[in-house]
Amino acid sequence: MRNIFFIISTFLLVVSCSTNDGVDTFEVGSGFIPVNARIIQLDTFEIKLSTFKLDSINTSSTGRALVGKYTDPEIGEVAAATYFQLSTTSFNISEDAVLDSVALILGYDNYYYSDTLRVNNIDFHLINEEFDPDSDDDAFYNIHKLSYEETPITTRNYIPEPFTKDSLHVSMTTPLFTELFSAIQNEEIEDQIDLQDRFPGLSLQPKATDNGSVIGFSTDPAETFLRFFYYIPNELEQEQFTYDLAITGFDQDPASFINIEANNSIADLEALESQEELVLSTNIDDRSFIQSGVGYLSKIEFPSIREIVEIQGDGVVLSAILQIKPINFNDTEHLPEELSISVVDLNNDIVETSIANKGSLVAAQRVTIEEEFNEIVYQVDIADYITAKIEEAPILNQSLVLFDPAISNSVNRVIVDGSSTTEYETKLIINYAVY
Amino acid sequence: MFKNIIALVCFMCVSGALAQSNTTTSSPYSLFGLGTQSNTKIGKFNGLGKTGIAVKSPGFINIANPSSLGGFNSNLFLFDIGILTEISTFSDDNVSDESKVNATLSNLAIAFPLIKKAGMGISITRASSVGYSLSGIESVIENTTQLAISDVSGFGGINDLRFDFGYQVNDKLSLGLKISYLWGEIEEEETIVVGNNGIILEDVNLYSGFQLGLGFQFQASKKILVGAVVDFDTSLKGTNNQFVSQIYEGIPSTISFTEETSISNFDYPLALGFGLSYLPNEKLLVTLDYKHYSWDLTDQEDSIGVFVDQTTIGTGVEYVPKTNSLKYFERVNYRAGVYYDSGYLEIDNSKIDNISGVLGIGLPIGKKGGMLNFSYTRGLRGASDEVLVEENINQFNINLSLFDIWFKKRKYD
Repeated sequence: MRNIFFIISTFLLVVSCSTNDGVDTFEVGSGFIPVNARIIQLDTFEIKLSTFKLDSINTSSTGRALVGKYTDPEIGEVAAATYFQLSTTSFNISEDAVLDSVALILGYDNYYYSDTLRVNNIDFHLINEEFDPDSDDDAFYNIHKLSYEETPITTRNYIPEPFTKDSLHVSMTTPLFTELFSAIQNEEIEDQIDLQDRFPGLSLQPKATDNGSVIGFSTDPAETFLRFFYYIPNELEQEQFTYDLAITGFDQDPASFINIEANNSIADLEALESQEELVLSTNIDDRSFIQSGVGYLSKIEFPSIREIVEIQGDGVVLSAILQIKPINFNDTEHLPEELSISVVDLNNDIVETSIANKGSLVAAQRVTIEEEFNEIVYQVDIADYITAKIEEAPILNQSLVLFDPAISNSVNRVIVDGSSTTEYETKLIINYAVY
Repeated sequence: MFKNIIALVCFMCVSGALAQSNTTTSSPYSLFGLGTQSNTKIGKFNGLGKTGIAVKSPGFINIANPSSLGGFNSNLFLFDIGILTEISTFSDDNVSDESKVNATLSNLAIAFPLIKKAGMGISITRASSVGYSLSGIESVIENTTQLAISDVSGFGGINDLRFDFGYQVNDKLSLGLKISYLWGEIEEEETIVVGNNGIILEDVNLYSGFQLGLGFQFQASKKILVGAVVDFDTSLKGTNNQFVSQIYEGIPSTISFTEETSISNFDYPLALGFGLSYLPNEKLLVTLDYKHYSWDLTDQEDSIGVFVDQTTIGTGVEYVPKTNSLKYFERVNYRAGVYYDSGYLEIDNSKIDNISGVLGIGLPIGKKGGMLNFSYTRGLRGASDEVLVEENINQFNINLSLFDIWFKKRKYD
């Protein structure tokens, strides 16, 4: 009997572990079943918006030559000028070559800002100092200038056609260039250094009276070049040849940069002298400005975000959509498709160039909300950033800043609306799971 | 003697396995309190409508009344093991008829004499079971018109390791004492998501505590035996371990783990029971039990319902054609019973009660009085109102009771 006892015990020991794989799932209507966790949506967090200006922006070798001047109805005058040096790798021109003409071909790169129906002027000046940034990091900034001859080599007025035309043709058959051609031909100029000594570069300046548009030209040697047209006479015909100088650079220094000068019509913004100063949106009609080229950045803070734990309790931020409302723009072509996000400290120095959410870098994406008269907002999920802000100990005085990714080679401007008027306003929408 | 000790040790190991074994329910009601109460008895007593307060059991383990062990045969060692299979169908007004099956070990018990006129029983049974899994529960995300979807599931239960002592004072009166160690683990998982994002909460709640009980049985007349029991109220201490995970784009990642937080105790109420058994002749046994559980006094609350006083009533009849017959089928026991449980849970003013009818049969095994018991219970729990669920329960019990001689000295080993 005891043996049977042992056998049965062992058998049932095995059986008890193997019967029943678990509980099957119900779909039965279960209105009375309580759920301990719930999800709430919160969107009344205070958003503190402000604007500050970067001391300088690195505009070296951006791939674009930006020229033009216009007056922005919201923000005032903006003037863009470009400086570049031209070079080549081949210094052989046939002795028999006869120069026909010289032209600067500026290839449009499809960038424009403001009214292209008006006439633009470009003054082409000869740079008369060495094309060298003379700074620690060998880079040129938007505040840089190089000295140039007061009298322009030539002036061109034009109505920009960045989409219908490939390039702007500027005739440059002047003594400066005919002499340069000869000097290369007879080997007075044998290498890059000789060339730079003789011809440091060109500066393209808008006229001070201009109020047209800012146009972008490519600095790619295939698009933009100084072309010498020559022919070699022989008995039968005159065959045309070309000799190009392009913006390729020949040493460590950048071969081009953009200079931006602005006159901000908003007094508070014009008064900003250094990067650590800022202008609260509440002082300038509930607005914050982002302007590329010039360097205005929009700064966003969430002063009361840590209260979420006190009021709602322990929980998890499932998503935190930062919604940014731009205003006073002409059409979406001028609104960038995304706004980049960086983190600054309390002196407005950038401490992180980008932020990540759930493992991927994020930027604020432009979204058109079809239903509501084509309302446009920027949205980005910054749940990880908000979670870190709620949990940080000690409290770091860091904030987010927004700017156009094309900050160094455009003059795009975005005005952020900080007022609470409509559903699609600037705000932070958090989905919070409470338990 | 030595072999009996080994048997005891073996029993302990298997009872450990029983404690780990699976739940006996799929009822959504098991998310209330510490789960659905099984009130399962041992051996033949399930077939008698779960009665036994007033049944003397010199040959069977009767956990309804500890004093039933008084007068335990001084030579016998009793072993009992049971398997329970439950097939339930759930329905309510919204969705009809889902069927669930659970099978598990339902009890292990041994009993043996202590001293002359006293017996001791050790048994392990399931006091309550938790087993539910509900999905697609919708809730509105506050301040929006969006919906979040929740799934909740629970698994586990409370086990009862009982020590029963019975002592026969005289021909008419026996007294008994029971000490129960109640312990168990209930795991609950809750997931709430909107789209692919949400959180998972996993709570493991551990409870443990002791409960004391007393009982007596009195032979009122030759054919009538009365009995009474009291289970004293007690508190099970609870501890919680919680895991919180976040789900992003469908992939979970752990956020936090909180260990060993104290949670509120679970109180078991004071219970008073009375029983009557009537033996009109050798062939027939009729039983009637009544028990009242004072849940109101525990002053407890649950998030979905209210604890209310509970009453259970059972009645059973057993018929043996001829106990000492040489013909096998005349020694077979035939049983029938009815059991009503008013339930301790009230939701929206509806009590979740339970009524069942049982048919059973006991097949004698061996020469020492062992028995293989089968019973089939058909029960109904809940009520099909707007939101509540009605359960149709089909329960099959198989139970083996074995005897051996205790402390017998063998001359030839």
